[in-house]
Amino acid sequence: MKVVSYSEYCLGCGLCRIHCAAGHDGYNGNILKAYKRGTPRPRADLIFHQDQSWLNTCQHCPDAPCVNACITGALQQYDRGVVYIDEEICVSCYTCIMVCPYGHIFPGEQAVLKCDLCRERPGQPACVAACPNGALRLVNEGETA
Amino acid sequence: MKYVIIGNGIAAAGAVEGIRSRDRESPIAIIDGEQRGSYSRPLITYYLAGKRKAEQMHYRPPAFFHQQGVTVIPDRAVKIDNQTRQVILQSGLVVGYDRLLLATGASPIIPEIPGIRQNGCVKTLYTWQDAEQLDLLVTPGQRAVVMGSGLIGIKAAEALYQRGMQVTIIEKQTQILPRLLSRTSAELVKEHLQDKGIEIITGQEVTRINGDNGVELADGRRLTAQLVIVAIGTRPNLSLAADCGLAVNQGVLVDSHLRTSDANIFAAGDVIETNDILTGYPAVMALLPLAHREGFLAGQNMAGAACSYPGGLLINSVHVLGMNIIGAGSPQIPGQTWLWQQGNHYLELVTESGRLVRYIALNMPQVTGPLTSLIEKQMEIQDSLWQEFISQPGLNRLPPMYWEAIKEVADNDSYRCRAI
Ligand SMILES: Cc1cc2nc3c(=O)[nH]c(=O)nc-3n(C[C@H](O)[C@H](O)[C@H](O)COP(=O)(O)OP(=O)(O)OC[C@H]3O[C@@H](n4cnc5c(N)ncnc54)[C@H](O)[C@@H]3O)c2cc1C
Repeated sequence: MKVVSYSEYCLGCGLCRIHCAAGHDGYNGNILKAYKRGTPRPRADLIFHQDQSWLNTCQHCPDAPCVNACITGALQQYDRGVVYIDEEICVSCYTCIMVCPYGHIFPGEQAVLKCDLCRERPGQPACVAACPNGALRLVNEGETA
Repeated sequence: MKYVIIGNGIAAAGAVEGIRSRDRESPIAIIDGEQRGSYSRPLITYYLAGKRKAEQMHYRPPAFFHQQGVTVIPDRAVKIDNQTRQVILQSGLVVGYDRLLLATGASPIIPEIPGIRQNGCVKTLYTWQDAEQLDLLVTPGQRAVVMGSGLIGIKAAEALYQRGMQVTIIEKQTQILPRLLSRTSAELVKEHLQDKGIEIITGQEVTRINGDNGVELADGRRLTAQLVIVAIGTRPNLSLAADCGLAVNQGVLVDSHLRTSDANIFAAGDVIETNDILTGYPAVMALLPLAHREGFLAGQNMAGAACSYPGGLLINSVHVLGMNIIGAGSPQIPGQTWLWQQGNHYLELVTESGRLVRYIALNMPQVTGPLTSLIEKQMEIQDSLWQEFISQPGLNRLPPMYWEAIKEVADNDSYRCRAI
């Protein structure tokens, strides 16, 4: 499973990353709490490249290079599926950042930050739910994007 | 099928995952010579610095081995009888195998310097036990000399510094982190460490250890030190392999399927000699991500697959006292250098005929993943695009053909296996 970003529909508005940050760290989707009073930490970012934009977010690669390279075992991929980080175990060595071909993992203080497909959120991941132009879609493995 | 793995480090964990991805039933035994379970070796400096507790040291939790149906035998292997396919343990126990994995790792090199073996103040920092012993010897305010400024030396120096010791690093080469950094970037890292109060002496060797009074350098200088850490490099633990007649050079020799010269014995991790994929030369890489990858592939091959392993890329990410240092590629390939620096952020690229062969990033983690991939892919990129990227490095400025190609990387099948 992963979120696919369609650059042809992306407006570059950035609501995805805002809702991503507000969807994590206990903000419970409360944007005001995250952006006005907290430290918003999105787990995905927009890329603006030439005249296109898209959300650059974890592809949950099969045989993920980040999981292979993780020096602590904090990154795990169960049954070759979603790649999760255990923020308690990570030491922020950035080895995963160094091997992610997309630049999808973000530096953090105690632990690196990455997409967890909003596992604690009911329904669609926050970015997908927030996209006003249908540029993001959650796809299952085997499904064509 | 009976699988036996000698060593319980990173490659061993990868091998269990590899075997179990293909064979969920057959018994697996791990001979754990260190008898500390599966722990992450790089974390020992964090442990020494007091940033990691004992219960946070594991690489795979104990439950993992239980769930995977693995028997961990806390004992050392002393001999492999590859005629009868048996491993003889120190306790006298004999363990039979159908497929064996040598994952015995490496050990620190101790140079022949007068006084080095006689002095209790001389230590290595390579195992969790080393860290526990050092923990008792650390005395704030006293001086420690670290011999060698490789990754382990630098991390050892950081931990001792964080514990309040005065630290001096002695490096034989004319720059620190010689395997990872260029001259220019090494200067920046050196300044950073010196600003924090770590003393660094390059181009000098320790020639004698004088017990509690410290060390003597080649130029006759004497440094007082209560603790000396030897971190000048590591060497594969080859004896088991060599004693049973396996082909070895600097490390155990393996074919592209990680099989040794004995068809029933595979090898993975720091113990093997593999290829540097950039230069094509044989190399003992001694890196954790490679150890896991090799273990994972060897494990699958032990279970009947034919995964091939092309070799590894020299690559490392390390934090020292607030600075992040990432480097990848080969220092040996000459080429065109591209530099960018802003405050304490620094990026250096080396390209050869448009292909990236090396990069060094200080406090610039975000661009490194794609750069690593560009080295691996050896994608040819025009100088004008490198120029554009280096003028303001960021993901937004990567060459367009990279973003096009990378869409395929998610489905990269280069590590997938053909079942036989
Ligand atoms: C302080 C430090 C920091 C590091 N940091 C990094 C880093 O940031 N990035 C990186 O890529 N790498 C790093 N490394 C290197 C990394 O730890 C190794 O590359 C990795 O552990 C290799 O895995 P391995 O399975 O081959 O060997 P190990 O993990 O060393 O496991 C081998 C095990 O086999 C055991 N063994 C040996 N002989 C026998 C025998 N006869 N019988 C039974 N058991 C035996 C050994 O005792 C050992 O426990 C670091 C190393 C150290 C010491």
